[in-house]
Amino acid sequence: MNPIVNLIRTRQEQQELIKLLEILLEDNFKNKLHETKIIVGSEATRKIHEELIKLITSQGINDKPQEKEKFLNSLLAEVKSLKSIKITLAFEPSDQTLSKLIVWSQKNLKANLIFDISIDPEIMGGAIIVSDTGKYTDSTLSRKMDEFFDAKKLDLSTLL
Amino acid sequence: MNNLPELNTLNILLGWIAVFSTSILLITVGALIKSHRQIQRLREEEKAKWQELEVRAQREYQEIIQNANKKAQEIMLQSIQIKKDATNNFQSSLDSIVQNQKDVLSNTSLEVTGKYKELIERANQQNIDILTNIYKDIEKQAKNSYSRYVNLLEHQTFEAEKIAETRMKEEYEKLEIELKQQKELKLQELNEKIFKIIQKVSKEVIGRSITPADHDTLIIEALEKAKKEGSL
Repeated sequence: MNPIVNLIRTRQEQQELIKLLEILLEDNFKNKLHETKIIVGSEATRKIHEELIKLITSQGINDKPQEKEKFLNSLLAEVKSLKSIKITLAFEPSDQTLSKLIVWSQKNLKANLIFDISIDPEIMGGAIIVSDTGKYTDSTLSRKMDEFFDAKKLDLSTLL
Repeated sequence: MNNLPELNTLNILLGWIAVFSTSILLITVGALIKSHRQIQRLREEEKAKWQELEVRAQREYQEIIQNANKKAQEIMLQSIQIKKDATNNFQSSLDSIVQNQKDVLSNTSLEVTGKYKELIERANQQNIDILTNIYKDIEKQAKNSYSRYVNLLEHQTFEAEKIAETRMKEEYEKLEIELKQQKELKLQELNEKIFKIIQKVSKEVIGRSITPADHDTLIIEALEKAKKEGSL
């Protein structure tokens, strides 16, 4: 597996990297990798771009457009084939949280997965997870609290 | 020399012919001149006659014109006179007609005014009489109706009071039941609202008190649960 693939954590990063690789491939025979002018979206993708330049330079293929093209095409195919888990969180995850998620994923899941994240503050905490097969798990704080209050509703109404 | 006598005869004949022809020519020319003079004289005479005729015709024409003018003037004078007479006659007859009309109208107006005044007074008197009678009838009828109405009203009031009392009692009981139901419903709604407020406040308090590390733990727990349930 290409080490660059391990750096991708989210669906957004995957999409940005696919665009980046397509631009690099288009520009391959005109410029060297670092000479192509690219406006990269997120900080994470900028880092991946830097790592990619380092890797290609270390492999000595930056001056060899044909080999470089082969490398980039192979990487693009790998990036595109990545599977994702749909996960709803209560807040925009920090870099630290994302790293924790990836570490957990690499330890606990066989396939190399990335996270397709959406945000819903109503869930308060925890996560709603939908697998690629469509299985749904609601482990949100909001749901846990609703369950608690439903259980205690009778007790509370007698108090009122 | 032999031809001499023949020649002489011929010459004589020719001489005669020449003399004859010349005399005929002279006669003819003379006749022509004469006839020409006659024609000329006739023409002059004719011309003189025409001139005379023209002068006479002009004179007659002028006379006719003068007579016609004279006649026209006479006719005009006569017509002016006729017009003047007619205008005077018309004016005088118009004045007399107007005067007659005035007299007739004045007399008619006096007659009509008198007649109508009398009629109106009579009609007014009749109306007053009719109205007075109607009023009296109405008063009489009203008095009768009123006493009957008072009796009826007294009777009905008594019954209505009874009915009203019963109905009020029924309504009061119904209202009491409704009020009780409403009270219970409102209390239930109030309990629900209070419960929801407690729930909301609790969620907010707990949501705020959770640290980022707690959030991470909750997410990892969620992933582990999903794995356990076979979602991953």
